[in-house]
Amino acid sequence: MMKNRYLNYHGLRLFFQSLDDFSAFCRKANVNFSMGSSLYSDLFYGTDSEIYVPLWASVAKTGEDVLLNHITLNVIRFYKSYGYEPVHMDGNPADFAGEQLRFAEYISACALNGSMDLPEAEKVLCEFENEFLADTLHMIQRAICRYSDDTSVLFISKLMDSVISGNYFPWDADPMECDSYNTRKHSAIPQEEPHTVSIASNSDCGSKCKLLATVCEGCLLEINPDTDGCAIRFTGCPRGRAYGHTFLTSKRLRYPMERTGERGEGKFRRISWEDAVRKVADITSESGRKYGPGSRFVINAAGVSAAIRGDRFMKNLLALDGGYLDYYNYYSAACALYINPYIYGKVLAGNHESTYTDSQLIILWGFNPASCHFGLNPKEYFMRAKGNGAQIIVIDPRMSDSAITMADKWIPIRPSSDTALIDAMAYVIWDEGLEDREFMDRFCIGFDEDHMPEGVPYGESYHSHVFGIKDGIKKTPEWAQPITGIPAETIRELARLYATAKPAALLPGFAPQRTMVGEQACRGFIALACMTGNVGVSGGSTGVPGLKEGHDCPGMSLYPNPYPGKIPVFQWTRAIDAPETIDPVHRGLKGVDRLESGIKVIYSLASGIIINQHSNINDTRRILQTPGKLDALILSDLFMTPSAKFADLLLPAVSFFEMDNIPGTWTAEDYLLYNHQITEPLFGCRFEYDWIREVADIMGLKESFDAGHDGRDAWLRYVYDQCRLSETELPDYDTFRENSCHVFKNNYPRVNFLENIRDGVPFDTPSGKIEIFSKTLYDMGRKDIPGAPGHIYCPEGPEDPLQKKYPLQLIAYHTKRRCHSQHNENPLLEELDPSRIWISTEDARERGINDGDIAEVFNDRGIIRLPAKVTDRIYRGVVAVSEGGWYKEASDGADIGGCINTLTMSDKATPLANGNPQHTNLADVRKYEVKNESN
Amino acid sequence: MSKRYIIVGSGIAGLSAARAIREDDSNGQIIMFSAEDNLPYSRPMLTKAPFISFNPDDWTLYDEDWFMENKIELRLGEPVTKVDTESKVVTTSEGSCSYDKLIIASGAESFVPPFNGRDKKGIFTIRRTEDIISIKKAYHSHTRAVVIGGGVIGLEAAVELARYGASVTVLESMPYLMTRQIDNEISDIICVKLGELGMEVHTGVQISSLDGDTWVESVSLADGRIFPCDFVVVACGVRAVTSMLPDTIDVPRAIAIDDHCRTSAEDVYAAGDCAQYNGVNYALWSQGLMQGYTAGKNAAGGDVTVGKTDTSLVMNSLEMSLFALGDLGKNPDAEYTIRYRSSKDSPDAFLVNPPQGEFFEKRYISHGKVVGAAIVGNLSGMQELKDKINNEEETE
Ligand SMILES: Cc1cc2nc3c(=O)[nH]c(=O)nc-3n(C[C@H](O)[C@H](O)[C@H](O)COP(=O)(O)OP(=O)(O)OC[C@H]3O[C@@H](n4cnc5c(N)ncnc54)[C@H](O)[C@@H]3O)c2cc1C
Ligand code: SF4
Repeated sequence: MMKNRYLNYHGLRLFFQSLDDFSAFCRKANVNFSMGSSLYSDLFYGTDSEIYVPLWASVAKTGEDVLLNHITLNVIRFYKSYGYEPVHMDGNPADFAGEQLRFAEYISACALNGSMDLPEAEKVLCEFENEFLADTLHMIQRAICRYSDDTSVLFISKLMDSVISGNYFPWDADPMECDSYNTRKHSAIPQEEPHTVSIASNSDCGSKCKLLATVCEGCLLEINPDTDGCAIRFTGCPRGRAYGHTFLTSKRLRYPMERTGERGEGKFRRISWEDAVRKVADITSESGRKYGPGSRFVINAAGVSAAIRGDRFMKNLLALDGGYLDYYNYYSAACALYINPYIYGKVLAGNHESTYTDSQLIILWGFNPASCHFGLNPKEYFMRAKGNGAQIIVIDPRMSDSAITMADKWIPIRPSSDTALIDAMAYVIWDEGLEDREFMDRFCIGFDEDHMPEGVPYGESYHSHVFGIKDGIKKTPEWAQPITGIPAETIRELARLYATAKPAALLPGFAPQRTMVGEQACRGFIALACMTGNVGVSGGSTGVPGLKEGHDCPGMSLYPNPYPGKIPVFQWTRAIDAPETIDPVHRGLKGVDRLESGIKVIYSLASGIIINQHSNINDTRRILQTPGKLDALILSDLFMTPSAKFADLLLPAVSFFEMDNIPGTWTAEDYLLYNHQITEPLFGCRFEYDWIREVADIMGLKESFDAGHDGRDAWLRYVYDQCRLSETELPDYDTFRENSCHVFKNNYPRVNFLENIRDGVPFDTPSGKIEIFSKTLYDMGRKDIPGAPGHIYCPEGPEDPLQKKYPLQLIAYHTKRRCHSQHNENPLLEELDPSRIWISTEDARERGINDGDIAEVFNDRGIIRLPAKVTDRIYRGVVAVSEGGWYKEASDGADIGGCINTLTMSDKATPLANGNPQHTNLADVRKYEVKNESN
Repeated sequence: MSKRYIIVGSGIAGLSAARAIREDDSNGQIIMFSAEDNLPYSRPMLTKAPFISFNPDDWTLYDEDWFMENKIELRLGEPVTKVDTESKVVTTSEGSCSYDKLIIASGAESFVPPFNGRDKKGIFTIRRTEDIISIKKAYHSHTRAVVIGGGVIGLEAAVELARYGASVTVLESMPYLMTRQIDNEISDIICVKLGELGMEVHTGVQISSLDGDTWVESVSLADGRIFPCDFVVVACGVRAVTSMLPDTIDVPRAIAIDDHCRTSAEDVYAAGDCAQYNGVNYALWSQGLMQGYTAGKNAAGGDVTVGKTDTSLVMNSLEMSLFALGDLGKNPDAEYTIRYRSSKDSPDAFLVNPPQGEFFEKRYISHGKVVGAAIVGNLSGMQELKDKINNEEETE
């Protein structure tokens, strides 16, 4: 009996170990068995994006797609108490079905070879099966039988039945010939006690929290914010507490893969790391040779926002191999980053959030700090200001969480109409003589005709624009009302309030600058801040979103790129599709006059851009699927993301739980954190650096790639030490690592431009003043890039005649449940804000849509199908879908994952920065009628 | 001299009795015999805990230390086989033992109606932890399970089986589910919900036989319908465990007890699922808890009478929640007005997780008082309703 039992465990363990080993065993035992290797790979290595077979007790016992949880720990403890040390078969967690069988095999072998009592062995096995193995095998059975009724699958399912039920399959084999037969019983292995580890994630979250993970035997038991580990009290957020359910999951990519199906189909085969590395080297060298260095593009990636990161290493390697096409801008803040230097003479022109406690009035304009963490908890400062008596006004098309929880007043506005509201406010302020004339005259240029740069004809100042000198249209509140949707009287009150509350902080979020008129919006905010004399004042603001000055954060510097060309990041699809159309004037090409080649190879390392975060997904799909356009997409990620499905080489990466790093704070914060690894890399997952270095080796570039830093740790140390050169207060690396945290004592001035205002130091602009009017821009001579701030026509904005066809304006919003596309699959977070089409009660009624009905928001670019959220929390005429939902194509081509970029445009970019206008879209909504599938 | 108390059974009634004794008598010797091998656990969790994560140890009520601290001698796996009320001695599987006071808390066992073929393998009931483990062992891919009995236990088991991956058919002989506690309309709503989970529910059926070779392979109905299956779970109620009792103790269906939980024999008390008071045995946790306490107090010399049992029906799983209490139109002589409420009446724009917020509520009102009610879905209004019904509050 025990002999049979042993053979059953043994056989099934071999199956989970490798198809070849199991087939050999079957042959020897005269059992007819054959399974295709692609079927095996799809079921047990996760190489088909449509197939999901969990193999671990952690999933079986909780129903959650989680690895390395308390169940895994229980399994390890069980093993260890019987002297079994897990071997982590193929990199699997210890509660992998194969390893469980291996343990059972060990116990039964011990009973057979006499090193353990038979009754005791039986008792242990029975207990182990009841507690872990039976549920694990049942789960696997269920899953594999769902995908395939191949006889080989049924046979394996039968073998599992026989293990669970005890009606053992009669293997015709000699136990003594099995590799595990002679293992002797070991005495119990000492067990680790739970302990806490200081962690901080790599997510591109605007906050960076010091969290404490409770860890035992490499299993994650719990995460809590560190409330007393250093001078800052971290509060964390639901995402942080649920990091385990995001990153340590059974949906992780496990092994390197190569595409087998059509690009985008999500079908792959497993390959070895040696093969993968060789292929990356070949593709890289070949593209360089064939098309030149500019054919290679490392795409914008925010998945590892930390000191050492794959995309930078890849760029460095390419730099050593002749270069690569680089990019500038980010999807977050293209316009703000681009425009600030023209006006203020520097990018980081914001104030520190702590200064807002002095405000009398705070206007959160398209800014939702209650949900979006921008820096460490700015919300706390705003609430403190409120406690001090400040009023908070939220301007947003949506009644955001901030509008609900923080604001005294919510002013709904039509998207992409911010410039009209700004102009009307400026009108009222001037008209009623509320402007701070002294400030304007002393520090600014371009407000009125008396303060203009040389050589600009009459009528170009901001005042002239507002009072309609050239176009005859006074930008009154009545003029703005139909554009913005805000009653003229409300605009008047708002303008007066802002101009008279001293100090007042106008705080835009990044949303208004992610519209087609993003640059003008940024310039307008600054103009208002200057008109009211709120610049250089604590409690005032510069009108700039975030972007404060602060401490350096360790970040890898790049090797000089021999190829000088740079494109705005938003133009990458165009650079594949129609590289000849990329020029310096209209498409923002820099460094070269034209592209010598289109992009032929993309390296996407920890990025969700390819299919999800970049606009117009259906067009991107077309480009990626048209033969001859892109030669190779090399992609490294944690999950089978919508982008990953399009990879040609798909490589599994490690999460921040699996490696040390120094996370990058977004806005140059007053502290620095160290993230400690809590567990070994899962499966075949590797930090990109590790394989890039091997690629460098094959290409004969290892020595220069290393530049004397012979490993990941050396790099991390080096990058940190580089930062210490400017941040002299930082302790040595080992001390910092030990403390996991450094809170700076000597901080930057909290209020920006203090020196300029107080001491009259000139601004770093051509005129030495704040350039409300920029001659540099004016001289470009473009209608869509005026010299002054002010409302301009916005394609697909509130005044576009296309509204007749698509009467609704569609925007995205950042949701508290995700960080861009990260956490999307985390079920714990989903319920914080399920993906919905937000639509106003009136718009829904007109379309016969009730709350919860399945609806479609659509335009010429595509369709998103989701349940409708019918609510008074969104302005009439506006619909919204949260940003970051994973694109998922239904059989009819609609997106049912809730990815806003199904409907956003990529053919047009903002005029100056070539930024992404993702909140400027026209669309309509209809109720979805389930069509009868007739065939 | 200190008294010796013997408690038969370590379920909630037995435990509650032991606790009550200790409150008043710190010296008396307490010996508790249990027919089960595991430490006392929460029996209702057998069907309330997910099958997948089922681990009996998670539901242990008191650990060994507790028994030590309270000086209660717990004899696991040692059933009482005979009781002699004349000589005041109980016989167990291991020996015998005299008592001063005896508390019978032997509970109940599942009742399997005399179906043809009920001796076949693959027919399970749910009363003990082993039952769940055996059911899970019998599961394999493509499992089809038939659950006979559409009461709370049957439905909870059905939901868990479905979640575990089986296709489940529920067979109920009454015209609708839980006829004692709910009404036709609520039953229909529940059937729809179960249907959404992929279950089939058939009511008003008459089982004719359980068929198969040695292992059950199908269930046949009198009307000729046949339901092929891989195993059957029978949840048709319980029978009190009384076989070890002598004739001196009056056992009509369960052990008759008075308001002090006294049986007809001197110094012998009974409590919980094995007992009936005023001819009624609800076989509910709250009844065991309360009667055990009463029996223990009185055995230790007190004078305590039984209180009211909370008879509300509560089912609460991820997939389905139900609450019912009181008279849902069962009295043919009464006149009722019915009032409905539901989450649809006031859609809450700020609900974090809308699906979890949905509910449907039905109240029966008679003579201006809520006499019975049921809620399906979000049960957060349950306590308020319970109070209304129990306190016979006037309706607004
Ligand atoms: C699956 C399931 C779900 C339930 N759900 C609910 C619910 O939702 N709400 C609710 O109120 N109630 C519920 N119940 C009922 C509740 O569990 C019982 O009413 C309660 O457990 C009764 O407690 P007891 O101590 O009387 O009997 P039991 O819990 O049955 O305990 C009796 C103990 O005595 C032992 N015993 C029997 N004979 C002997 C002997 N001769 N010698 C020694 N020991 C003996 C038994 O083995 C057992 O351990 C449920 C029951 C089950 C089975
Ligand atoms: S997601 Fe951001 S706010 Fe939340 S815990 Fe992580 S770093 Fe902190």
